[in-house]
Amino acid sequence: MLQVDGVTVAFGGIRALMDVNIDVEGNRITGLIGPNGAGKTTLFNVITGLQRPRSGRVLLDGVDVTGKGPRTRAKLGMGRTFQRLEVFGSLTALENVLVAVENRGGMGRAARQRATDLLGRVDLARMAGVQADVLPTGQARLLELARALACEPKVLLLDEPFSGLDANESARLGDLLESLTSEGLAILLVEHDMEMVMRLCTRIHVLSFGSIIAAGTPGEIKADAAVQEAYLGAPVGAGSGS
Amino acid sequence: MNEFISLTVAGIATYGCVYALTAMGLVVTYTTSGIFNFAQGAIGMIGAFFFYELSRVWHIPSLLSLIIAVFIFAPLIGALLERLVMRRLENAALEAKLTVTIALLLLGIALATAIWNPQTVRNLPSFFNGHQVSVGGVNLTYQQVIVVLAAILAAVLLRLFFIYTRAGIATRAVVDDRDLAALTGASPARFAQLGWAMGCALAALAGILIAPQNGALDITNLTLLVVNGYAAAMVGRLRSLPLTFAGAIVLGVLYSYALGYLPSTLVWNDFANITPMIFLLLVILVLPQSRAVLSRRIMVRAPRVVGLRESLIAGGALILAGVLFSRLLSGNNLSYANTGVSLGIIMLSLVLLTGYGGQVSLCQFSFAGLGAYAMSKVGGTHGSLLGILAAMGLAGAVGGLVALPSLRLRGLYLALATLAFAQGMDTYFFGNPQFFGVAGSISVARPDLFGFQLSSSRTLLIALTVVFALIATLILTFRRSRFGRRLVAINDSPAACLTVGVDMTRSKLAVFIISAAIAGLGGALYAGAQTQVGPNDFQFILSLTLLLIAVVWGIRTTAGMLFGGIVFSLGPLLGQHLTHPRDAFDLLVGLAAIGVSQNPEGTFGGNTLLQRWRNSREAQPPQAAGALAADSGEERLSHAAG
Amino acid sequence: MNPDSPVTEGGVANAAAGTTAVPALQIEEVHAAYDRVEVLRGVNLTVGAGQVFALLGPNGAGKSTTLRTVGGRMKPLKGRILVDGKDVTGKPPEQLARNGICSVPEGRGVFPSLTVAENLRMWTFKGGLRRSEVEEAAYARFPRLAERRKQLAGTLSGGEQQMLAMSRALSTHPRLLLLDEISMGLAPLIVAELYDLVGQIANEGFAILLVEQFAATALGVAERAAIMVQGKIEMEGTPDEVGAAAGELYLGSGAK
Repeated sequence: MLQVDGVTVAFGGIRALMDVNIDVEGNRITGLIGPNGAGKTTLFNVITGLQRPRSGRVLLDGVDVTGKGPRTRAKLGMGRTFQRLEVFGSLTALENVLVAVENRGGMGRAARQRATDLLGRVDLARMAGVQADVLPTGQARLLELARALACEPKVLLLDEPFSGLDANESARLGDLLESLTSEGLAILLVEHDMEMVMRLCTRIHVLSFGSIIAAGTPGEIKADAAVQEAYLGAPVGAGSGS
Repeated sequence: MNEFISLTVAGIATYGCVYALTAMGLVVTYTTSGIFNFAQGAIGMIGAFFFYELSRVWHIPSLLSLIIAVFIFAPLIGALLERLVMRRLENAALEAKLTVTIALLLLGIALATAIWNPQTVRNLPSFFNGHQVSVGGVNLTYQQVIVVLAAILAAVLLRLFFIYTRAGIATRAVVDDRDLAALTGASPARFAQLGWAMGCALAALAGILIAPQNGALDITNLTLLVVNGYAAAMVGRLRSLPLTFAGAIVLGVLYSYALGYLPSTLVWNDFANITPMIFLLLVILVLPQSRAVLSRRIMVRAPRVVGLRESLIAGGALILAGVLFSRLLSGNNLSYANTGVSLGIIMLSLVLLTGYGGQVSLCQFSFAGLGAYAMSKVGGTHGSLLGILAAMGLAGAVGGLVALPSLRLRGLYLALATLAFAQGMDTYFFGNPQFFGVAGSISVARPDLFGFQLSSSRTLLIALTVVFALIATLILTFRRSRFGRRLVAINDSPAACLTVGVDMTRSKLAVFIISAAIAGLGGALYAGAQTQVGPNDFQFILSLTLLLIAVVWGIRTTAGMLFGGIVFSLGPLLGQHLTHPRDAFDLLVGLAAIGVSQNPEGTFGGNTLLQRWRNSREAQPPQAAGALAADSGEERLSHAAG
Repeated sequence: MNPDSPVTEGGVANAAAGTTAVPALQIEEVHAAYDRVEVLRGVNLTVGAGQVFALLGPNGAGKSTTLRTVGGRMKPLKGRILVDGKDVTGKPPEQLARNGICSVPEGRGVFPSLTVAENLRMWTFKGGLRRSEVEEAAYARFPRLAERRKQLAGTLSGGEQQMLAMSRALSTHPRLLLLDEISMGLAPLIVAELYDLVGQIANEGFAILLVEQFAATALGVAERAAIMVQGKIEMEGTPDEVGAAAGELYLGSGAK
């Protein structure tokens, strides 16, 4: 559904992404993990068109969208949420979703109904009238998810949707993501909650210092020594013995 | 050839170097504090007057006077302004930051008028009494030599300061990374203060040097001359001092050529005068814009969205009040009320554009003037409905033309582009006898709506309140519509809009056109209320005042605009009691706007008592969820490059 | 409150024998919030004189906020912060910095558009330091910085930038060093080098509180460690004890 093909990004002299390849298939959740600063959000920006890669391609449903702007990609079925929240702060939760619904051509009462339904789907129905800036982080994340769903995406990119949720909310969001994939959606999930990632993802890619250092099933990833080291770091002075 | 050389020399020495001084000052204040100082010109003007006071009234030697004015007086003002006003604005919205320095501009003019009676003629002789010196066959006055030397010296000193002194390095460090500067022990506030002190010193120097070249000291002229420095500062993208200097010289020379080579007919003469504005516009349009699409979270609570029923009730109440006041008021008071409500209509145009859309326009009075012009040409002596439509159409169309090239501009750049447009309109359109009559004024008929004769001021007041109520209701309806939601969304988070697929260009263009059309309508009615209007009624400085008052009263509220309009119109009222009415008014407004630094959401927005009461009645979001969500709050502010 | 004496191996010369009883840093019941969202919910933590303390935990647990609060960039809502026994709660960051609290913030602790030499000059704001002293100390430790003294810091490689940032810690003799994820975005090899350096600094007897995502790396230099979860210290102990818990925390336990 979504292919990232040899994407490289550099900021000034510092490279942020190095020849990254990822396949995101429909009907399942693909995980993208890695330490802070590894380049995960940069990759999301490249995929959604907010950042131009130095080289490489992005294909959505077989169509090369590398040269296309973010708006076109959204129209073609790409939805995302942001790690650093990007809600429409002075609008209510309902209005946030409504903006997206109406942008797909929804009108009047039907649009309002659809927005309400979407809020219900992420468990935010009772927050419909609350201004988005006031929502706690976890709920604001759910709101971004509802807004992204309103765009009827084929591919959904989620940037740490679980952070800020309590155990109950997390479990429910996990179920929701699974039911979304069963409807055919392809999800690329960046997340630090490993328990969730291992539970939900069929395949996981590990990004470290701009490169994919491992890819595989949750079991393979857990057993991978390189991944262990990428996450925990190498013990200091292991060799030099200072 | 000789003319070419002397024009070039004049361009560099008379204009370029002065622009350079003031523009470098702008850059220094902007980089250190993040605030674009619209009052730079006013500070230069006050510096010049202070210098006059010292040297001509107190008979202190010129050089000593210069030193006192530039190195003591002006820096002190700058340091005080930073400490008392600017420091509180660090996280304020752009329109609040703009408003406060605009307020300072008006305040400066008002104070100067109060202290130095404009009726008195004050002449500052050139340094060395205009003696000349010949350099390579070109005659230069000592004045010009001094200007050039001062500019070069200032540039060199600034460079040395920024490169070799620890304070200079720290100032650049604050610009680079404010937080880190604090963590090394350098206080960012102190260096912002230093930046303001230096910026004001440069402004004063520019003011003193340019003053003798324009005859008697004139408060408004001196204030506005410095505005041309904006364009030069833009060349340096408000960052680079060398580029700013170069830009200033190029601008000065171009201006000099325009004055010298363009035919001296009225039209072309005006054209020469707006070269700095055209230059500013071009520079802004050509400059690459930063692609900063991610939103900066400014934590202000938006005013509650008013429902249809509520706005209809309020509108009805307003009309009733209009009827009541049309019976109670008479004579002058009645005309103040009329002017006030029509100004309120012009001000409503800002609610949509700036309040919801976040686009700051400094040319709403130009649109209003276009509306008045169309009304006068098309509306005829009876003020037909067609005239009103023409007013809205013309203003809207020009609004679209202004917006088209400006759509990619954001924030301050957009504001400055509209300012350049407004200043151009002042010189080229409103000041032009071809358009605004040889007598300098045109007569505009009051509209004749659906057979209602509005020639009586009483009926006019009722009609105006009806129009105000209608437009206000319309704007509130807009806010609740798809269009309104989209506008607010674009202002809140451009990045999210892109990923949702919202067409931002179309919405931005549409809101600019609608807003201009409302201003045009307001302008036509405003002119009708006065029956005669002249170029002074639509000066760009009024657009600044308009924004200022709108922000003071709460730019995201329609109710605020009604009160704002009435306050605006009361300026002349003070005239019955005070000698310098306009300025007493500006003084008040200026002080009020400095209050904006305390409450950036304005009187009718933000944390008013009313709002707090409403908040307390609203269902609070459940606290339990809030607490659990708490921990990731830190990510919002962190700079995870991820 | 924490009686076990921290100054065993590390604090040699600097920590004069008589003052060992006073911890370098005490955080007592600190609460802090962004807007109305509470991020720290009663943090208690003591860093002994000359001790290296590693603060670990998942993203968003409040580790960086703890450092921000100590460094003065954030005012706590409740609680006290004592440095060398003196209450510094709510003091502005520049004052704390001048008094020897050296925070190296997340990302890069350098000014990208200043040259290397100019960056070093900024370090002298700590007070009581001459420009030449700072330069000598920095260049002696990192000859590579001397070669690039006229280069803009923003054009240095990530590792060199981090060296420059660490040179502040080395040349200004801080009372307390706060390191926030200095490994962020760096290649593993450079991270290892950087932590070698932290180990060396630690051996000179400075007290260090460090936040790090690479648990094993951080625990390698730490004398004591704690795990933070949801705004509170979840567990505290020796590096070994904390290390055992950390693996599970980071990669997930899978089966419970």
